[in-house]
Amino acid sequence: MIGRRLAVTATLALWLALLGPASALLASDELLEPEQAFRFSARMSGRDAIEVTYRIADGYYLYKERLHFSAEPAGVRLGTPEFPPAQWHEDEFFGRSEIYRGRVTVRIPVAADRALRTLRIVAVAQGCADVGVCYLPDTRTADLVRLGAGAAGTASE
Amino acid sequence: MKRPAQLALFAVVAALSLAAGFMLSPGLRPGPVDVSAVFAARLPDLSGQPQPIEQWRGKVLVVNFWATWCPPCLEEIPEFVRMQARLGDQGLQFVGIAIDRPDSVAAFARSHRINYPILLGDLAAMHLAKAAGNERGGLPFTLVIDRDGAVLSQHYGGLTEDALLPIVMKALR
Repeated sequence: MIGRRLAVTATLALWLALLGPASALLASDELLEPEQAFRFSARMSGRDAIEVTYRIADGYYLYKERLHFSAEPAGVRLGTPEFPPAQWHEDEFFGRSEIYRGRVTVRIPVAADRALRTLRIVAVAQGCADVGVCYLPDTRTADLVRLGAGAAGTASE
Repeated sequence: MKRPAQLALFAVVAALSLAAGFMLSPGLRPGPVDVSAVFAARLPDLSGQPQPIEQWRGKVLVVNFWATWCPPCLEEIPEFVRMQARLGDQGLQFVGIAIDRPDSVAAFARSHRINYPILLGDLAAMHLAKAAGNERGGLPFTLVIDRDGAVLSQHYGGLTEDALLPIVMKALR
């Protein structure tokens, strides 16, 4: 009787010991801070273009159509961003969407008064983790210095 | 082995495995919940009426943060609708907090016949999400509070009825 009880207890204990961590893992793989999941940087590429780069952690992705850029001050005009080819991602609600994994650099033409030396790029991105968690749209900014033609200023965050 | 000893062994192993579970997934462990801040929050509903969370104190409350642009959020909502219909009169209360555009939320709520209150917000909703322990701004995120205001569960990512039912049934008893 005691032996049997012990066996039951041991079985339950083993089951819990195995299931505890396993269920925690299933319920919740590791989730990075958005700043770590999507590492942002930006630089001038000559005087007339900005390059925005996201280094995307493994297991995470950004939606192409939810990358938006604006610039300050008001006189700075951005051209149409040049996106590199994206991957297709399928889900039951949105069907096929274009996403980026790994690393993506977007080149954005910029036009501004010749005298303007510094400008701020504002980038909004939205992405998800493969474990099934999506992040709120995330806004990053970088202050960039326009030097003479060909020289590049860099900044991030 | 005597019964108390058995129970003690059981409790120790259970505690250890729970701790191991947390240690294996440190990143996704939600932060602490500020329950009084959760109950103190007021957010507008779909008609623009401010709704205090306090009005649902005493229910088994499931607060679900979501958005229409978040596929895993949309997947779990039909299960919530079914559970609300079946267990609402026993004291189960879902409340959806949408961090999204009001028109998109209203359209989704209509087309999916959401049968529980949906509150809207951006900054205020994000403050509420933080109070609920959602430090990373991940969606979906779900907080379960019992009738006495104690936190039963916090969860990043989609939930199924199978996962949620045991938690709420215990609290409804």
